[in-house]
Amino acid sequence: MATLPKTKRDAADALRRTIRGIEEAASPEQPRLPLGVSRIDRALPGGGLRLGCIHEVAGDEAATGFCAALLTLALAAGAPGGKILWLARGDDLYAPGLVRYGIEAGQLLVVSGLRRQEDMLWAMEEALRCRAVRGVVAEMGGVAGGGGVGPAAGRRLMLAAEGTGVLGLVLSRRDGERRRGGGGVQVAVSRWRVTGVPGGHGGSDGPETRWRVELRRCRGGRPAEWIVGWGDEGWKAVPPSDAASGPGMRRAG
Amino acid sequence: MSRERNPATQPGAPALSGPRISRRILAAWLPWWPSERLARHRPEARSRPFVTVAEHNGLLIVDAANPRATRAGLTPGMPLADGRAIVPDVIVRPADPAADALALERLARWADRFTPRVMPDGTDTLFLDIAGCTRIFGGEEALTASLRSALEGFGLTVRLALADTPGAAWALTRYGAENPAVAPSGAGPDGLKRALSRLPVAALRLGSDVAEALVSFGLDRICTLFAIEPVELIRRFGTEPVRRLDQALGRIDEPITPLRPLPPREAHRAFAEPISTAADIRAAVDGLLDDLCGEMGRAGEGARRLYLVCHRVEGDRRTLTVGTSRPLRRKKPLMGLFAEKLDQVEPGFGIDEIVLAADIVETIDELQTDWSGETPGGYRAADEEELANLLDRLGNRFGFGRIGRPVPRESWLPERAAVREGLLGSGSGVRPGSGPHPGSAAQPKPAAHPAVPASWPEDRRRPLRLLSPPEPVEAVNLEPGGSPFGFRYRGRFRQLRAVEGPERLECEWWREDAPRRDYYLAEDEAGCRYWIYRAGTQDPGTTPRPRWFLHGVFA
Repeated sequence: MATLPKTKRDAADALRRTIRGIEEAASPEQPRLPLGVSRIDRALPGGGLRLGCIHEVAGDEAATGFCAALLTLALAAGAPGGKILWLARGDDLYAPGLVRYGIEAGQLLVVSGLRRQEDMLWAMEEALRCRAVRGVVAEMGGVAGGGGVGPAAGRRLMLAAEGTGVLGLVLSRRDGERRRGGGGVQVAVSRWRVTGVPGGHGGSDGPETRWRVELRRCRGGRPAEWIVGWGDEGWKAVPPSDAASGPGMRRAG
Repeated sequence: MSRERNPATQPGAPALSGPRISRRILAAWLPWWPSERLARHRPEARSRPFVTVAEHNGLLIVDAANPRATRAGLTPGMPLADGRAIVPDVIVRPADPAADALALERLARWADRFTPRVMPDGTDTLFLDIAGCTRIFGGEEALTASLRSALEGFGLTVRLALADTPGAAWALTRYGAENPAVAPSGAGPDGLKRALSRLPVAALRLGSDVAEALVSFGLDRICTLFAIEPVELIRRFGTEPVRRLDQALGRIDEPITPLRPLPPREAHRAFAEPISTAADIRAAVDGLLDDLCGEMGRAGEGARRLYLVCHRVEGDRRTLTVGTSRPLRRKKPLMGLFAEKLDQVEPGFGIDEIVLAADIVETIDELQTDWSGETPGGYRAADEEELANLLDRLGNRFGFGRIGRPVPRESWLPERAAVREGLLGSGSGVRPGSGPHPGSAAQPKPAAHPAVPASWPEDRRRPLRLLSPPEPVEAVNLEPGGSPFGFRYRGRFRQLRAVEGPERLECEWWREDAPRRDYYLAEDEAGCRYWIYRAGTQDPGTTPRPRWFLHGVFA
C-alpha cells in the first residue's frame, strides 16, 4: 500500500469509503465500542470495535486477557445485568484472574469442555441470539473437528449477532503463528493477534502486563500494531520509545 | 360371616385402610407366559410342543409348557424323561424365572400407556388400575379390548377381568366364565360377593395346601366361606383365607404400587394410525405441551424436568428427558428444548402413543411487571427469561454439569478460591421474583451470604489460566529461599527477566499435610508471565530440595 503514489492512495481510500458505505447500508448499522486507547480507536472504522459481529483474537495468553478487557467494555456499554458467556475448551479459565480486567463474579457464565467444533459453533450461535448476553468468547483454537470457521458457519454467527448486537469473539489459543488458508474465522470483521511482550520496569505491582496488539485485518480499516500496557486504571498505549526500553531485571523478596 | 363388618374397626386391618372410592382394576393373566415369552421370536416354539425345564435333585422337571404340549399331556411338574416318552419331538429350553420376571416388568412398563398405575403380580399377572383413564380410550370396554388386542398381537394368550379390587379381578381371570370377565363397578362388597360366590376357593389366591384343606372340609366354593365366622376360619385354616377374602371383597385395601412414581403432571396422546414422520411427532409434542402447560398454568406450577415417552409399535419405547434451570411452563422454550432432541426418536415402524410428563414441578412465582414490560429496578424481565432459555438449551445439549458461574469461596488455596456454581441446584432456593430485587436470582447465591466475599480481591494478581493440577518444574535459584532465576518447563529453559514475590499462601490449618507455598509472578524474556510456586520452605540446612510448580499463566 505504501508503494502507491499519493493520488492513487487517495483514490483507493475514496473507493474504500464508498464500499464501506454500501456494506453498512446493507447490514444494519451496529454501535461501535471504543477501546479507550485513542491510538487504536483511530485506526478502527467508526472509532471502535463494531458490536453485533464476530472478531477473531489469536495469540498466546495475552489474547485471553485482551478478550477479557474487550468483554468488560461490552458489559459497560450495555444495560445493567448483562452477562458474559465464556465457551471454554478445557476447564482452566480462572475467574479470579479476570477480576483484574474488570469482570466480576456473577457476570460470567462458563460452559466448559466444548471440545468439538460443531458444539462450539452451536453454543456460540445460541449465545449470540440472546439479548441478555453482552459478549461471547469461543475458545476455538485447537478444537477438534476442523480448523477455522467456514463461510457458512461464519455467516450464521454473523446473522445471529447482527440481530442482537452481542459482541462475538473467537479466541484462537495455541495459534501463535498465523495459518495460511483455511484457518481463522473468515467472516470476522477484524482479526487481532495479541502476544505478551516483556514489560517495562514494573511498578510496585510486579512485572507490568504488556501486550503487542496487532490488528491484522479489519474491514474498512488498515492493519496496524501497537504496544499496550495494562495497569490498574485500564490500558494505555505505550510509546514506541518506551516499549523498546531495555530489559530491567527486578528482584523482590 | 353373616354380618357386615366395618373395615375401620377390624382388628387386623390398618386404621386407614378403608375401601377406596374410585378404583377399577383390570387384571391380565398370561397363563402361558414363560413359554409364550420364549416363543415370541421362535415361531417353531408356537406350532410345536414346547416346554421349559428346571433341575430338581438332579432330575429335569417340566417347568412350563405351551398349549400344544399341554394338550399332548406334557404338564408342569412332570419329569422331562416321561414327557419325552409322550412327545418325542418336544422342544426343550431351560427355565429362566429371572428373565420371566424381568420381561413381565417390561411388559408392565409397556402397559403404562393405558394407566400409570401398573403393577406386575406374581409370575404371570398384571394389575392395571384404570380408574380415570378410560375416557381417553372410549370407555372401559374399549380399553380392555385394546389391551387385549395389543397383548394378543405380541403372541400372548391373555385372560382379562375387570373388578373393583385386585383380588376379585385375579379370581375372575382364572375362574371367570367370560374373557374378559366384568364385575359390576361400584357395587361394594355385596356386589363382589355375588360376582365371586360361585367360584372355587382357589380363586382367592390361596396356597395349594390351604385350598386343599378347605376343599377337604367341603368348603369348595367361595360362597361357602361367607357362612362361617371369620374367627372359626382363622382357628382352623390360619389367617390366609380371611385375609384373601377381605382383599377380594375390598374390605382391606390392597394397593397397586406403580413401577415408576407417578409424575405430578402428565399428558398423553394415542394414535389410531402410528406416526413416524418428524413433522407428525413434532406436531404431537406441540399438542401435548399445550395440554401440559395449560394444566400447569391452572395449578400455578412450572416443570423442572420433563420426559417424553414414545411408545413404538414394536412394543418398546424411546424416552427423551429435558431439564430446565427454573420452573417453566411456557410452551415455546419447552418446545425448543425438545426440538433439539426429537431427532433421537427413532420411530421404527411407527409410534402409536406419546406420553409427556413433568416429573419435577415447582411453583412459579410470577415476576411482576407493569404495562411497559419492565420492573421498577430497570431490570428487564425479558432478558432474564431469555438468558434462562439459553442456559436451558446449553444445559440440555451439553449437560447442566458443564455450565456454571464461578463464585468466590473463602480459601487461601488458589485452586479452592473459585468454585463452579451449577444452575440446577440453586433453582429451588432462589426463584426469579422471590428476592427483593428480581435480578438477584441471577446473582450467585453466596453473594447474599455475609461470610463469602462478593468477588475476588482485585489487589492480588491472579493468573487467567490455572493449571490443575500444578505442573512440576525445575527451577533454578541463586540463593536458597530466594526467588527463582529461571525454570525448565516442557524441555525448555525459561530465563526470567522480572520476578515479583513471594506471596506466601498457607493452607487452612486443618489441611496440615499440604506444605505452605511461596508464589512468584515471573516474566520470561519472551514476555510470557507465569505463576510459579515453591512448595515448603527451604532452609539452608535441610536436605530435601523444595519442589517447584507452575500453577498458572498470566496474560
